[in-house]
Amino acid sequence: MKTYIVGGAVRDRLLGLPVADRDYVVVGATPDDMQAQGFQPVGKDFPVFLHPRTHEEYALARTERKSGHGYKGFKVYAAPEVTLEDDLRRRDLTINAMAEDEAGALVDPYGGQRDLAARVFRHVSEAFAEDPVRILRVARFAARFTDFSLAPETLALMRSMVDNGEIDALVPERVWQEVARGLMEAQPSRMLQVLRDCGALARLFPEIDRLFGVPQPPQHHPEIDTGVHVMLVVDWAAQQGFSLPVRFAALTHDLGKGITPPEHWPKHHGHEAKSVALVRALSERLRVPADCRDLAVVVAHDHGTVHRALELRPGTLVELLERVDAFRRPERFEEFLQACECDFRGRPGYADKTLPEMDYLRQALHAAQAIDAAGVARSADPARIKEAIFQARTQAVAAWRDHGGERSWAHFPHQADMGVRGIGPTLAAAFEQAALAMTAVVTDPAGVAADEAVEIRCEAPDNELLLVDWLNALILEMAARHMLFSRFEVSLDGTRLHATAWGEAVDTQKHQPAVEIKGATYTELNVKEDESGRWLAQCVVDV
Amino acid sequence: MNLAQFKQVSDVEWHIAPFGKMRVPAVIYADEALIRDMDEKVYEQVTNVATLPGIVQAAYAMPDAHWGYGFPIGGVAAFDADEGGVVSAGGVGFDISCGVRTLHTGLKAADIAPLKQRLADRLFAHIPAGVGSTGQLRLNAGEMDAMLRGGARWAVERGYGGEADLDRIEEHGCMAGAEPDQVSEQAKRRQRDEIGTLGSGNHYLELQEIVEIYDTKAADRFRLRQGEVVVSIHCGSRGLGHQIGTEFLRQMVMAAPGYGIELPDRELACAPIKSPVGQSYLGAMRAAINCALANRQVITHLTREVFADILPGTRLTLIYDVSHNTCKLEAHTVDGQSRRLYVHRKGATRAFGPGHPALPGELRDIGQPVLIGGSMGTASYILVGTEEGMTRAFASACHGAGRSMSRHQASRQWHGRALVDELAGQGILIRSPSLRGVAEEAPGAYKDVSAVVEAADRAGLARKVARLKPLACIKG
Repeated sequence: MKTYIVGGAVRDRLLGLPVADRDYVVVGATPDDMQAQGFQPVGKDFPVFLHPRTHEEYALARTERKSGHGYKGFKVYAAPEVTLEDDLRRRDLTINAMAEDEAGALVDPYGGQRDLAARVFRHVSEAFAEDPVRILRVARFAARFTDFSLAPETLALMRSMVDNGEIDALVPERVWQEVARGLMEAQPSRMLQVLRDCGALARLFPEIDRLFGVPQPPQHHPEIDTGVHVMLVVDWAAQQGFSLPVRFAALTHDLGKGITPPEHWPKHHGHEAKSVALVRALSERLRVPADCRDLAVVVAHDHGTVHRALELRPGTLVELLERVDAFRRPERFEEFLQACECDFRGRPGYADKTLPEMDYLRQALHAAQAIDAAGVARSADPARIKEAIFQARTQAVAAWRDHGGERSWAHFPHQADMGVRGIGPTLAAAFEQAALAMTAVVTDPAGVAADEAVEIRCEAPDNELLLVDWLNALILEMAARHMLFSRFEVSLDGTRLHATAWGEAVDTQKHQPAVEIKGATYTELNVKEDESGRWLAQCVVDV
Repeated sequence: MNLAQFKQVSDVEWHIAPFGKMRVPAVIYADEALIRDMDEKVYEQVTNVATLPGIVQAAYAMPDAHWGYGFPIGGVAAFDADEGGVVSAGGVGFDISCGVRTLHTGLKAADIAPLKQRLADRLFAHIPAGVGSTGQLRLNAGEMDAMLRGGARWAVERGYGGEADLDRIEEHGCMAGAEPDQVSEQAKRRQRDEIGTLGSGNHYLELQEIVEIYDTKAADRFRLRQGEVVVSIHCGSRGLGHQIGTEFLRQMVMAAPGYGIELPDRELACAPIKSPVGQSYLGAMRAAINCALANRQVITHLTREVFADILPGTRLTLIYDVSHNTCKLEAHTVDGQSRRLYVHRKGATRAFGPGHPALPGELRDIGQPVLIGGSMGTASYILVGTEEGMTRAFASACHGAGRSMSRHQASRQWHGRALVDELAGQGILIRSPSLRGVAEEAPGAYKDVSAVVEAADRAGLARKVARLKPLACIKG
């Protein structure tokens, strides 16, 4: 009797990857031989044993013959005369069909090393076609080993397995099990791509397959194709190391776009509600666990709302928080925000954009959590407790917005330069905040003393040109006076601006100024009032 | 960018046939990897440029093209004034005539190795760099106008360098047609004490070693020898140019509708060359070109002072001075006919081939040196203009690496101090007034300049002559 390490452990060692589990094959033994040596039998269908001390799995060398549809339709034949080569031959891919004996010598009868070096997934033999789970496994490997490609003959074989209906014999639990593992790999989009290439995606996940070729508005989605968007979104989720529920929600958030009537393309009005219905149906069909399903449903429903967060009224914000169950399950709320961030970032050029909505929603939750819910409940009409709590939360969010959350500035990225954005309750306040954002491009405004005042006046035909003029007037004063400014008071009379800026002379040691601003530009220029009456003023400055 | 949007002409040339309001095709010179990495905005911007009135032949983008204002950075377009052609402030950019000059020291890298630290410290102390720094010169109104009219010649006449320098500067160091009267008081106010300052951002002064020669004949003519040290200066027209760009961009935005010009993007604002706004801008922009030439000339003088002090007897001779952000009236052959065109180069270098009358006598038969600055801590290149380049993109080549990552992202990814130490470990000394500025300019935030140069060479825009490795960098 001889023992070999086989499969993934051998492959991963050759790839220089850490080896987690080792599987062993025993050649030349009977089940009685094994039990006599203290191995514990565990296999129901196959002769598999646990090592008495290490509890690692040892299987007797076996062959399998197909006897029906699906992955359970096998006749297993294990006997002492079954060779190692016979056992390796029934395995899926050449890279998984190598063994190592106790002395560390490699047994590679099917070219596993060659395919490893060439980074190719190639099936070992036609027996591959006997088990449709292997289609999912290969797809999952593609998501893990991101520099491997699929041999054309293996793809052709997989396609024939789809065409002859073998794939339809898969049970839902097994599909979910493999797909869930694939989603947790490094680049899940590659799994989708392989499934799509062989036609399996349309059979297993028609609602995802349908997304390919469905256009979205190019101004928000430079990638245009909804299928491409979803692939970028799941890959972003994987890059961030997010949990399975987040990745599943990322995968399914836009399912509704697949059933928009083509005459409405590239718009997808109301796709969120359609996504919800499709996510529920898909989860039902594949027996998706409740935590994955529930997160996917709320993300499908509200991923659009999140990106409008800064414009929402306090009551609408609280409704969103309640719908997401943020008060009872703050950790789920975090996962919800993560999935929405994936949706945002999964577009070319959005990896680096600022997303103030996330912190804004966290702060809104924080404000709403601060109410004395028990006290509100005690003093409320017992029939209307829920409504009373909603009202108290709404007031708390409104108060937070009026004080803390109302005035703010931010930077947003531009490839060569930088964007400045101011937000405030009035246009003048937004202009002041935008000026502060501009100082922050150069140095931390908190380190600039407001000692010396400079008067500024300008006038322009509209608010957007006025913002650019205001910032350019400041740039001129900064450059000509060698000053930095940290406090601003703006007053507006129509499109005439009168302002005072306070600051001090540049001190290289103290301010460590990063860069000089050349001018404010019309790029990403936007000045607007949102539905709740707050003003936003932004543009890119050239540095 | 998505490659399906292009018709591939060669491995480094991609065309977009006119569609919509485009009057001419758009052409991008880049290899597949570079073009894939380019922002979609480059596509949008280069096709927008192709819609402008009077544009001739095509709108071009260089291998280092990236998202700019109206025009892509790395964009080239020529306009015929007689066919309603326009001039665009955004098509020149804010930093008018920002450019590079390279000086030969005649010293071996091994010779300066023990003095490198001292040279770096003294150059950093002697040449004003960074936000808020001022030069030694204070210009009164008369001197300001004289500088704006005279460019590097003005500086030479005041003792900053010699006649020989002027031979090696585009336009012989003095841009004709400059009109100081068209430059606003605000622009002059920004410049009063900024002559002889490096500025900030990606501007630098670098000591570099010639580490590889690709073209011995051209290298001999440029007097480039492997192992020797050169000094490169990268800066522009300072506050004056920025203010002119800002003011005329706004004027053109306001004036465009009156000229019946439909702007797909406000940054693309332009005016007919023959209009009062167009003429006024050209006069001011040419004055800004002179400002940049004077600025680099004064900095050259300051550099020579430091070398004279530490290494007496060293002669720093100018190899060449190129400008990146300009609009110049030039003669080009289009469909066999010689035409006078207003060529905008935004983040692109002029690259005249052999025989061009604008080249000084000793370079005329070999072609113009094309200086390509790397980012802080990475290689720079010297190329030479070619015969075939004259018919591609109106004798233009790339200008540098181009950012691949925003400042925002770079400052989150790198720490200035660690970066300075890491580069010092590679033998590259960094001197800068701002560590955050250093982080924002991290070498990793830029594209691979070698890939850009390789593509320019393969596309025939210019030919590789030598590669330079940084030894010390004074960063603004």
